[in-house]
Amino acid sequence: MKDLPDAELMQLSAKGSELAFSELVRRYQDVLLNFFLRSAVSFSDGQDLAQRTFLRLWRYRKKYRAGEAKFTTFLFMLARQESIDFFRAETRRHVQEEALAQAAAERVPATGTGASEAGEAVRRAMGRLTPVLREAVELVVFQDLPYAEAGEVLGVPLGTVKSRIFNALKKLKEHLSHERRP
Amino acid sequence: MNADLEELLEGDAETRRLVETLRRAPQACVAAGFSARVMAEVRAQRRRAWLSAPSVFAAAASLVALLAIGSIFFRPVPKPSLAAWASPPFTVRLAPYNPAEWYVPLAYDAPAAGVNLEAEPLCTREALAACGLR
Repeated sequence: MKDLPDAELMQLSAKGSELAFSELVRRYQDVLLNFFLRSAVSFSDGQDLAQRTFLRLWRYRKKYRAGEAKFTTFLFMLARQESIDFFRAETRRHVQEEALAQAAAERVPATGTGASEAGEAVRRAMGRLTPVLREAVELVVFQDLPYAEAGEVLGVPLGTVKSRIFNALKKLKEHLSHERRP
Repeated sequence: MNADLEELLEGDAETRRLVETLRRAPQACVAAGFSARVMAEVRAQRRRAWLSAPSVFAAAASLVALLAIGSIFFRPVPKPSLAAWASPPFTVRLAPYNPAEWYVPLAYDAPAAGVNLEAEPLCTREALAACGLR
């Protein structure tokens, strides 16, 4: 199972293989957690959202067509939907700064949790971006998706992704330079 | 780094440093037992799927169909008994007798029949001969 590509694991999952699905969970659990943490949710909310995304993936596993899209495109589409639902339901846009502070407090100092000053600064800077810019950075910079694939996930044209990345990096530069100032 | 990002960072050292900083930032890890929890939830979801409304409806429909087919092929055979011999194969319940209901007017309308039978001799020679009577 460990050597199989994602698309093949998804096909096995669609046939009902829990073993294949658990391998996908193992591969993408941290990726999804960080995806949500960078949108300024607390650690526990991040874990909860990652879990809900995997459950959504299980529900929609038969809808995935390996020839039509990459697995990551499909996964991030579901994660983005989960994130939209979360923020819509909780109306947390106004309290993201508080959530961020809580996230820092909640972060478990267990093995590999990775709570460091640099990581915190990046998360804070990401948290200050608008959701539209943040998700573009998340997909292109952190998940290394090409513009076309990111555009597919976000449902916008390639040129829009390009301009969003340009603006987001400009803003991130400003935010991080503010962070470094005493 | 993908080709699109490389192209964007071409000749912009400051933004490249920023992207590298972002990507080097330590990543958080899920707490222990996360995947086990997800898989337990997946199994629970699978169990619930068996009890969903469409599956319950399908099960009920197949049960009804099975009973219907079974009732055709496994119909109980009527056993001969004393009561079966004693009673007629079917019984007609007679209504209370009312002579008025049994009266059927059978008036003979000669002109309507077209032939006046009364005028004709009933015992003609030919008729008697046909009957072997003379």
